[in-house]
Amino acid sequence: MKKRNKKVVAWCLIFLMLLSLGGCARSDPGKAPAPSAEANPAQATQEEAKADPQEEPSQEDAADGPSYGGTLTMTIGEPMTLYPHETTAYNNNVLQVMFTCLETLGRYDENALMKPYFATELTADAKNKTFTIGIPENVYFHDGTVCDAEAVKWNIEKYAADAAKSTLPEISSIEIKDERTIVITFGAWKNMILDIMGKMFLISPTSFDQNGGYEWACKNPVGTGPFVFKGWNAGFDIDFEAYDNYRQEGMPYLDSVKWKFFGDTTASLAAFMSGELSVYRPASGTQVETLVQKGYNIISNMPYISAAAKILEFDGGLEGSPFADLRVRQAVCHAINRQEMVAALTAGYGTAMAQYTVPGSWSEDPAYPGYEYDPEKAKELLAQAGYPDGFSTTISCIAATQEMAIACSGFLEQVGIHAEVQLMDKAAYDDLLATGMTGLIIGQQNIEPKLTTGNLSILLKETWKGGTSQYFARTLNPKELLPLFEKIEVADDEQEMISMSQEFSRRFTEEYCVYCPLFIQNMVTFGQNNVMDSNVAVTAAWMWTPETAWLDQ
Amino acid sequence: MEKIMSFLKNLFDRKIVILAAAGTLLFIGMAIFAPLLAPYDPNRQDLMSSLAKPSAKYLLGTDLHGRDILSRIIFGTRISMVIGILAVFIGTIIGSLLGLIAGYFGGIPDLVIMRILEAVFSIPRIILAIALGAVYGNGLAILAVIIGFSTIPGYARLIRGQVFQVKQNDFIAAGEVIGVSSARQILKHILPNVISPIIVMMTQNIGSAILTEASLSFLGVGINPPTATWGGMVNDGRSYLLTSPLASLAPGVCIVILVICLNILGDGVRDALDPRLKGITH
Amino acid sequence: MHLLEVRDLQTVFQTDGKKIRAVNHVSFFTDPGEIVAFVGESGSGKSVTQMSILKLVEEPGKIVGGEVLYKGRNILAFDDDSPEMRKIRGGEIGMIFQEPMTSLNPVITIGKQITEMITGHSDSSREKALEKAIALLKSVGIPDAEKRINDYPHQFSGGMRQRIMIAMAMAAEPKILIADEATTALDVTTGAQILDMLQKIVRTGNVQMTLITHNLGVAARYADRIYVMYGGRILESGDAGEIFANPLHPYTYSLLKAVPRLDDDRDRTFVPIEGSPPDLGADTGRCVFYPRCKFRSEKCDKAGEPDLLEARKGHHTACHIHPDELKALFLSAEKNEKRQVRQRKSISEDNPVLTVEKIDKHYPVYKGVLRKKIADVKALDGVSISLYEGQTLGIVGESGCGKTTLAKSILRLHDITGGSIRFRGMDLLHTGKRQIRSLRAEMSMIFQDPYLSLDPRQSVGSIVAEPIIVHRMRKGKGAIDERVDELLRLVGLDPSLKTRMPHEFSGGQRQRIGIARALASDPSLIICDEPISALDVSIQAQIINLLEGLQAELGLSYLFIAHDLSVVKHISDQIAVMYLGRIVEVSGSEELYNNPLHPYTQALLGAIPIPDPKAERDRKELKLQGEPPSLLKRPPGCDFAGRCPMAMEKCFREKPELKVVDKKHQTACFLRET
Repeated sequence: MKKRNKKVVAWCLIFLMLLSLGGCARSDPGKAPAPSAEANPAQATQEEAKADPQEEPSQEDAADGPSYGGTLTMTIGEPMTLYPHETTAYNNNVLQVMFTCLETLGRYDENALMKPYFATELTADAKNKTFTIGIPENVYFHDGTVCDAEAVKWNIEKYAADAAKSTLPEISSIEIKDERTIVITFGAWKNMILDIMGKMFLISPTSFDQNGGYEWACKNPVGTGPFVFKGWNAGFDIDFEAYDNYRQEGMPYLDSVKWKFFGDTTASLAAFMSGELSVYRPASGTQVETLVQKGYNIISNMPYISAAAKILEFDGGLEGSPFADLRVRQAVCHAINRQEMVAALTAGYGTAMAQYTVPGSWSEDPAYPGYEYDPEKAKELLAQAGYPDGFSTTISCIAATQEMAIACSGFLEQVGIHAEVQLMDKAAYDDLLATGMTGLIIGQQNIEPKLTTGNLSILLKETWKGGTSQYFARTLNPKELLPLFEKIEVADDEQEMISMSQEFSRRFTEEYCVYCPLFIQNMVTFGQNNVMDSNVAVTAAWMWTPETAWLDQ
Repeated sequence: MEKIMSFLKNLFDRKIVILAAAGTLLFIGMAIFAPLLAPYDPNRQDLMSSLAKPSAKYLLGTDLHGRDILSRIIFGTRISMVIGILAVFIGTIIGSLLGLIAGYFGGIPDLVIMRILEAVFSIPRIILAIALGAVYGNGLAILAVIIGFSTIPGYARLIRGQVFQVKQNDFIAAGEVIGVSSARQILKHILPNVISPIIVMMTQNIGSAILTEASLSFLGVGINPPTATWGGMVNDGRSYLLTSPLASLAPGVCIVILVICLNILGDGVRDALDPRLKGITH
Repeated sequence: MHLLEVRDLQTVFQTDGKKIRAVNHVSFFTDPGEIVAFVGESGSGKSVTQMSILKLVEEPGKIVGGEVLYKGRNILAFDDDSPEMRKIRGGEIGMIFQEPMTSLNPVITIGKQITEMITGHSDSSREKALEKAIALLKSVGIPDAEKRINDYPHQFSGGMRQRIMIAMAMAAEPKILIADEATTALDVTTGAQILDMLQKIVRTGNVQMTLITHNLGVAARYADRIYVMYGGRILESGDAGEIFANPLHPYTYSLLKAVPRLDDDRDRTFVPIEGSPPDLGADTGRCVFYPRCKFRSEKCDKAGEPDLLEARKGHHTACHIHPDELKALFLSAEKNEKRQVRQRKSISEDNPVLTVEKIDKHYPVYKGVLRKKIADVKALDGVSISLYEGQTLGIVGESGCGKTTLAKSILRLHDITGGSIRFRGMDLLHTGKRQIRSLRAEMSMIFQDPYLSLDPRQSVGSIVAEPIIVHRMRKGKGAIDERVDELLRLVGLDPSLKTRMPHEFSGGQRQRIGIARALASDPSLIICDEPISALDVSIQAQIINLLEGLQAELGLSYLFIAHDLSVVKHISDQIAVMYLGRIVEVSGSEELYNNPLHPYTQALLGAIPIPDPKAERDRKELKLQGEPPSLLKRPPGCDFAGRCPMAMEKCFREKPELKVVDKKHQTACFLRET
């Protein structure tokens, strides 16, 4: 069975290869007419200069505030849906596009803590297991209907039924206390409720119901956001236009927002360099370097929420594996020079990880520096563990992480561990994770400061067993940390949650060394020089603030 | 002895063959004495001198991981040589055996063997190797087997044709009259008489086996990193071609030179062993 | 003035730093209307001499001396590509080679090739040339010449192609025709037809013909004058009759004694010329025949190379010994020979070693995409033979008559279609594979071509040891080696040579190795498939004597297959004559010669020339027309009816069965049925 799967994978690979060859051939002529990088931004700017100067500067930007609107053009992988309440909507592509026209109840602040945004209030009450949402006055959807408690309640129901179904505890009741307050009562309690509810988008129930429901809603987002959905040109772009009746006075500053889709990253890079795109997030370190060399402006360079953390995963839970020994895992952690890796592999646009959390975030214990690069110590630990002469193992990786795997292998070689790099295609790699990896793998895990939202829950509670995901089958499970983890989950007080999270983070790495954290590839986002206040990926990988963005002349 | 001398005399009749032989020997020397020749451990990484330009310290510069390109090329020779030779041996032994059986017995065995070979190997070599590599993993031995396997039909066809010719000779009939068993006929009488085209094809195939290995390593289905292989090095350096061209170019040039040397040498061996084969391409 | 006069011609081949003197001070002449034969073994320089005349010697050969006077002009002085030379080559002097297929262009019709030849050497128009071409083809005996002129060479049989070659050579109306082993590759009956035709051309057209041949019989039958060549030199020359009657050179004499003659006494032992042909690279400063000469004296060792001197009128010889002295030596040698007459064992008729009864071997013929069987080629059709203990059964027939197929059938090298084969009473067809393998020790085979029948990659010792190892006749390396040595000594080879490879041996020696291999498994039956036809004339006798000696010593039974009736007659007790896959006559060998019953046997005997012009003149012979039909078009009646001068109406309808005519004489002919 297994072998057959692999064969299928192999043939698919061949087929894809041939297809991509064809693809390359086709994409080439498209690139050719793109004008040179220097000439075009100016041209684009002039075209956009015809913008209607009717907006007034907002109060905080009074001095050198937004002087000019125009069209902000961005790129991303084409979303599969624009209906926010289904699970598939919760990926970076869809979220960023939806931010343009829909609003969430809350937003993460600069410390990555969830704060009310659309809602005037988001109050969690652990004791009573209730969650209170405050609704602003006089907010209208793009279709002109009012966004009242009924509409919000309708959204909560849809949200809880699909997108949040697996993460949100069971809802006992949704009560409209008054026109501007909704109280949700849960059957169980988790402080994650705040984050989950904060991420909920609002769409117009009227449009949804009148236009035939889900099918239509997937293609036509109608919300309260700063921009109104204009049209979706499948395979090419999605257009948005400023919403005159936006709830925040004077916003948005831009006339329109356009999301463009490109077949490959080379084409999108060229589009950015030609000025066709206002904002661009490079696909690789090489692209980052290219843009840096050309002097493009960096909007964000943060190791933030939901960024893929590169970690070295051990088969520590597998009996008989050398990595079942804590000292061996610690030796590996000591053997690797994360600073050097960041410097060489990310050209500096990365952040070394000391603990299994977003570096510098609130859940990282500032007092614990993690495993410092110390090959001597590593050798010592190996000797203690009974491997004075080291041993041989493998590092499995996919093409995207191969350079890291080679670097790790290089470091491990110096302490006597010979690690052969096993490059796999994605399917084989996933297969390996599911059936049980051996040795080491380079993992990429999306981590957030709030530890309870991520994979840790699956790992500690062993929720994968019997489920579909067996990704952690061979990872060491530090059961002793479960009580602490559960306390964090229900912590009501922000400060208490922070300190417990820090304790967990330190112990998870120091005492158990479940993973060897490596680094986070920063979300480096470039913008043309005239792009202001877009906040793309500043707080979270998928976050931006379309309402504050403007283009300078 | 006399035969060997005249063979060598014929072989080195052309200057270019001498040059090719010298080149091949140089690479073989590099492979054998790699630890003595290489200035550094090929896997010693120094991330802080990543993608260094050529200097007195690193004659050909370093790759992304700060490993010495020269040392990696020297050690990469080993892989190329081992794969080339191993693959050719595997292909030769199995291919010749099948060719011998098909040619000697003719009829149905011949039909079955040749049709199966044709069917399986109508798939391009590289694609076949990628598929097999994806299924059976990628170690040195497996790769050698895969590349070796892909050369089987060539040998089988060549040997089959030769066997048909040799079979016409009365000494084969003489063996039958005596009651010599088929196995003995094949091994003792037919094989020694078809050995020279096999040798010729072997020399010529080493080059293409090395090229296949490089292609596979380049495509990422060859030898696993961090082992230094030429194809792998070309691939690794590809992303930095503009800034550090040597990381890709140097191993690439080595592949080209070695393969050309081996091919010229193969042609030379062919011409020296059997002038009648002149001009036959495989 | 002679038509052609060659004086002191010398041609040298330069290879590997050695100078091979292929033509060594050769002088001769020819006159119009005569047939001159150059007789010699391979390597004697007879062909190179003729090639040198036309300046056709290829690299690394070089003419280094002498002159060739054609009508008084030295043609060696002409440039290779000069118009004079071209006019002479193919024009004044025409050549016919052994293998016509290589001389004819396979992609041009024969008509075109001949007309080109005609227009190339004369001014005649295309129509005239075509007319002439048809006339020429008719004159060389191509039936339906008008129709067949547009055919391609491969559409003709070997004999027909040779006729076409002759027509082409004749097209330019040459004054001299050189036939270089022109009939050697052909069947005896076909060869005889062609030579007869050539003889007619010479006699009627006043053309001079030079026959180059190794066959003394051919020379005796057709030549007016003979030059005997050996080692690049002419050793003897003179009138054909004179030379055969009174050879004045030991080589000529020995050659005549070494070659079997059709009219030989059954009990004559051949006197082989021992040793092998000379190495022309070494300049010994002696008579080239000295090392093999039985009659040499001390004088020969020291006196240098003898010159070709006139011993009698028109009879030249190159020997230091006086002709009279030689005569005496020859006479005493003949006396010894008489004494060597061997004793024949009596035959036990009731003890057949091998019985073959009515075996058929059919090859299916397929046609079309679906490979539908459309016919059978009957390579063997109801062949029956018996071979008795210690006897030799000769099988004679021309190429394609099924002799070799019969041998292979008996050895079970292929399956037969029907009939039965018994070896010592054991049915070979219904015996298991394993028993067949053990029977293989009992039967062995000697092959025609000593160059193809020995594995070139095995040492002689290993070749001879193979049957011993396969049949586990000796255990241990020492015992095997001992047996190999014994076998090599038995066939007259030095056992110390066993580590050498086959290519280091001469043809005769290689055939001895083949015989040693055949003897290695202690067989009681040896099938000899043309064992001497690939060997030089002087070597043939050695092998025949060896085979006869071995038979007497070891009590072997031979199945001796050959196309050369004179050899078969000599060695066989019984002879079976085959024609087109059937046996047409079986009888004792003397009886067959003296009283051939089947017209084909008569024709076959008649076609074989005897190396004695006197005897030749006295022969009455049945000349055959045409060639054997194709196996695919086997006639409904007697296979031979189409060529038989005595064919009756019945012969074309019914197939005659092999019937006993009198004691020990069977034939398949209606003429003998009464």
